[in-house]
Amino acid sequence: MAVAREGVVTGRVVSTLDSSLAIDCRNLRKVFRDFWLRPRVVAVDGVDLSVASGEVFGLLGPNGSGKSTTIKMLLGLLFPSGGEVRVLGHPPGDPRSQSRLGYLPEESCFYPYLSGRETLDFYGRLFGLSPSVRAERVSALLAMVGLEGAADRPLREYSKGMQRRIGLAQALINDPELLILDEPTSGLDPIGTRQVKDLIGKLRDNGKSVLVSSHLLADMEEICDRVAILYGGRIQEVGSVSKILVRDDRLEWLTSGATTKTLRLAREAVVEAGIEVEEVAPARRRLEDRFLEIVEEARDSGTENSGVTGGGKLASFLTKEGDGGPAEGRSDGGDSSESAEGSS
Amino acid sequence: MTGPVEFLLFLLGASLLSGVALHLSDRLLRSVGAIGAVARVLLAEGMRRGAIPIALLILFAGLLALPDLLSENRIVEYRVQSLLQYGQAWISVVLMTLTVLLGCGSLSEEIAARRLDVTLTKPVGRGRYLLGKWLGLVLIDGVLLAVAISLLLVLIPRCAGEDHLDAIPAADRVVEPLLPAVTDEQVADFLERGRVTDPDRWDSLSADEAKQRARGALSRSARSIQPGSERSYRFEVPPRLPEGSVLALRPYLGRSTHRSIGAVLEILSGDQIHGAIVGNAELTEIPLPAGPVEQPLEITIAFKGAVEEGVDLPAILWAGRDSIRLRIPDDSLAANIARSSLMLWLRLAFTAALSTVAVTVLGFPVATLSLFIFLVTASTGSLLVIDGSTEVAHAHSHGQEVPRSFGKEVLEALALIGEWVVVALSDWERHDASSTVSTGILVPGSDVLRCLGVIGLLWTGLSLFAGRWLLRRRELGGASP
Repeated sequence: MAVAREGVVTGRVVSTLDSSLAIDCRNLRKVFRDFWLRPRVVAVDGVDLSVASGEVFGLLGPNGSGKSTTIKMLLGLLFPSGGEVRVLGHPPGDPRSQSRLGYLPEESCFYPYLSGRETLDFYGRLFGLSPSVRAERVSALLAMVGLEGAADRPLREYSKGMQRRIGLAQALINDPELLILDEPTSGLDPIGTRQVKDLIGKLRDNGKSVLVSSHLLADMEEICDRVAILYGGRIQEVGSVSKILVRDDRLEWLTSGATTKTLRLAREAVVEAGIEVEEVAPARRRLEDRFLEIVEEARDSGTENSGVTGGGKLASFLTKEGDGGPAEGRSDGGDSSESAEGSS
Repeated sequence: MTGPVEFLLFLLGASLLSGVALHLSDRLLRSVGAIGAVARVLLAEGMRRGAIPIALLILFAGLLALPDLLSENRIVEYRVQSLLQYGQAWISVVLMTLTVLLGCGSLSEEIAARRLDVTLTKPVGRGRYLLGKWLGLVLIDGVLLAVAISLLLVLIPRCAGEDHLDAIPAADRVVEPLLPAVTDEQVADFLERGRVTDPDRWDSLSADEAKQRARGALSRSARSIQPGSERSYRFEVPPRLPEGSVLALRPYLGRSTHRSIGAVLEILSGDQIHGAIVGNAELTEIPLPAGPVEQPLEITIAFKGAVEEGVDLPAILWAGRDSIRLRIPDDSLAANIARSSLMLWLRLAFTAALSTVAVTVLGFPVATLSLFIFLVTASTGSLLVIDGSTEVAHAHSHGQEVPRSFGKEVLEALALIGEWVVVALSDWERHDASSTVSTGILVPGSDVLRCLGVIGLLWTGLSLFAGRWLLRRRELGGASP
């Protein structure tokens, strides 16, 4: 697809983009205009981006760097001012790509008067899933995000973290090939954050592509295969995480069971070789790991907790060995039976 | 008329019935795919946020209070007529308000809270999404309308009282007399005489206006009866007159004649003669015998003079549209009110479409205000006339040449647009059949079909198409960094 002028798609132009990529965009540009159509802000300025199948790609950048604008253009919510975009081989907003796409917005913006189960059922209907497939997936996803116990409570009673979890569940209802997650761990407790990170890894292992935008650099470092750092609407650096973060002038050793004597000998040898030793210190656990241990112990001892209970296990339909993809679950005809509660 | 316990029981019953009907509608929507899913969410929003329950209570409480409010009126016919008229008006006002508030409120909140962003990343399409919202509103309106009309039908016999059930109007077909057409020669003769006898009046009029007035005067004269004379009127009626057929007369006995002055008439229908005393501008109904009649039915009316001696009545004129006509029972009140309600439902469907479209571009406060202004204007027909347009129209009607200029061209175009709006809005008012139903006159099926074509298909279709076009061009997701 080529964008000849703002908001108008000219499909006849031969595209140079690679349709086999999950996301491919070249020279993507977005200019926000004022009431008199005078350029006000250049939010995205010539972004080239490609996300391969089975890749977890991170979009990093400070506020106003153009991350969310880029994502909204990929979703077809904003119209590019210039450049070319393909999402799953189709222009943004094309139903063919939308049916294979999952999206978690930055803010939890769901219907507060619907229950968790009804919310998932509603989005399942928008994908045309048959009642039986919908029922199965809704239950599996509720279990996956640990909201089985709160499934029939209205969303307005959910905490922010619970709403993020239901948001994640709705993004997966169609077993998407591409998942776009905007700040997926925002508002989640460490358990939820860990589960989401693990989930993203499992989804990648099952061949899904994931585009993640986040401010939490430690999380991104852990889960992304490649990242792009945006500033001023432009990509400042892009590449694999290991390549970007490696420092050729520094070396870290991690040892276990070394005695004081061994350490002293090692240090003397290094210093003799003319290499400066900056610090030798005992290794520390991460606070996240300790937190998770404590919660796990409390759970094992039978301590009760309202809201989120367990979860974290990938729903079976999202795995390669699962029960069919979106095409398999689609229903062309009407619904004869109903899985979720009535709306009224 | 109703005690507090009865009032509460009726209120509870109607509310329960509505709840059940809405639940069934919800089940029905489950088979309509993505569009049905969007409609169901709107239904859930209306129910769980209280808009529908509150509207229900206001609607039913208002209807139930009406018989008591009208109980002061001692004439049963008028009391029933008022209940029908006010009841339908109340239903219309409450449902229009609910439609505008729910339609505008739901969509504007989805845009503001960015719920629409998530929904539109699913393969539902902006047009289908809008259609879903519209379908939800139309279903809610349909259910509430059906229950409210049923309640009104239950209240009517209670309002009339057991002894006066015959005061409840049915649905009469109205038959106007066949009159010979006024020829151009007759009009020319009339004008020629008028310009001699009353030159000030006739010379001040434009040619077209003078002809129109002359034609009206001749038509009235062709129907009028001088004292001591008689005139025959012919009506095209069914081969057999049903029970309850009447000749309805509302004579005009002269400008200065007091209402208390009566005129004596003798009416010959077939081989039957009726005597009748009619008042000036008063409605008098003369029953006609049921049974087979000749085609066309000929009725002769003889004007015998005033009731009081010494009073001089110049003539009986049949001035208004309802001055002389037959009313033949054709259908039941329930069927008539059902046709009228169908027309109201179609107007509600258009209002629903307009609400969703308006809020796409205007935002909640401006869209709501604009829609209420539209509804009030269309219902009352009180439109401001553009001064320039009247000037142009006036000049044209006098056959004068209007000097051409760009300003005049623009003014004329504005006048044409204004005329189109007036015609369109008069269509809206024309499809309000509540007063027709309350006076017991049949709402013909052709009117319902016309309403379906103009408002249900054309206006609503165009609105939804415009809404889809606008929403597809609207950027979402906050639209600015």
